[in-house]
Amino acid sequence: MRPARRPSPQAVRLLCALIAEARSWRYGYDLTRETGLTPGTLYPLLERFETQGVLESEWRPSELESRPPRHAYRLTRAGVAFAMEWTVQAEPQPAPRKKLRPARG
Amino acid sequence: MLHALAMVLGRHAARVLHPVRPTQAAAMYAELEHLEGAQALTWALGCVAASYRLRATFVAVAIVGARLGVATMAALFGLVHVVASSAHLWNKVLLSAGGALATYRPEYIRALDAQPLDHWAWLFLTCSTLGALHLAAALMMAAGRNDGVLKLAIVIVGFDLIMPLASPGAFMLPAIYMGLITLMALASSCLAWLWRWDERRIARSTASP
Repeated sequence: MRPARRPSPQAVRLLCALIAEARSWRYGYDLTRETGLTPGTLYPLLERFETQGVLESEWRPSELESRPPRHAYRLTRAGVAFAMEWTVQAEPQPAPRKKLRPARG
Repeated sequence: MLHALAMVLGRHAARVLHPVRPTQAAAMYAELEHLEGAQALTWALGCVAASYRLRATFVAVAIVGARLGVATMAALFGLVHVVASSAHLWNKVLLSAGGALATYRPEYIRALDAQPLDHWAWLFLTCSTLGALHLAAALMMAAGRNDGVLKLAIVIVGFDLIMPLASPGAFMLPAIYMGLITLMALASSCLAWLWRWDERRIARSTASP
């Protein structure tokens, strides 16, 4: 399923991080470090992208011994195309300009 | 130390989030197991903030407020019974030992004197038990444990039914107590139902940042 609406700036940041290593599995903590998003923003985005078919996820065994499996995410083939489209379109946002007050006197 | 604190916070966040976003709760908690020290604590705090941001809806805040309000009233009710019956028994013991109760009104001292020590001991036993049961029910209510409130309400109603058998003629107080605990159990059940409804509503809503 293809997302109908334009992704938010946070979603674009996530897509940029995911497309950097498009077909490798990524973990939540690493993605928060790369994108600067909080878990409260990141996980709903991951869940939404997964529902939309942009991402796939699975529980992967830990590389470290006696640690529980981690939930990992990666872009699907459709997701790669979607991420490329939006990360190319995304342009750096200009900083908001302050309104100048008219000088007194 | 930091990691232990992070694990406690992470478990709390996962418990709050689990009914509405089970996968997210499990994924966030699993990440915590792979982090150390300050990283783990920062992550855990982020998880707590995320879970509260999602769960603290207007309905949820109102439910917790109502729950704490009812629990406070029930706790005060229980505490008054424990304190008052203990004070009566203590004063009766003092009076029986020949002590003076100078700060009390003469009517109160006459009333204490009119009944034997057994009466006040019995009153203490029943009233403080009833008070302690109400305090326990208040704690359950504050913690959102509806099953605990209902179980204690059944015990209290049973206790109230026995009370007239122990002191014949005393029907009014047990009836009032029964009415109050029934109201509390009803309030607790309604709030628990509303809480589950709110959880289902959040779980159904699509995730949006």
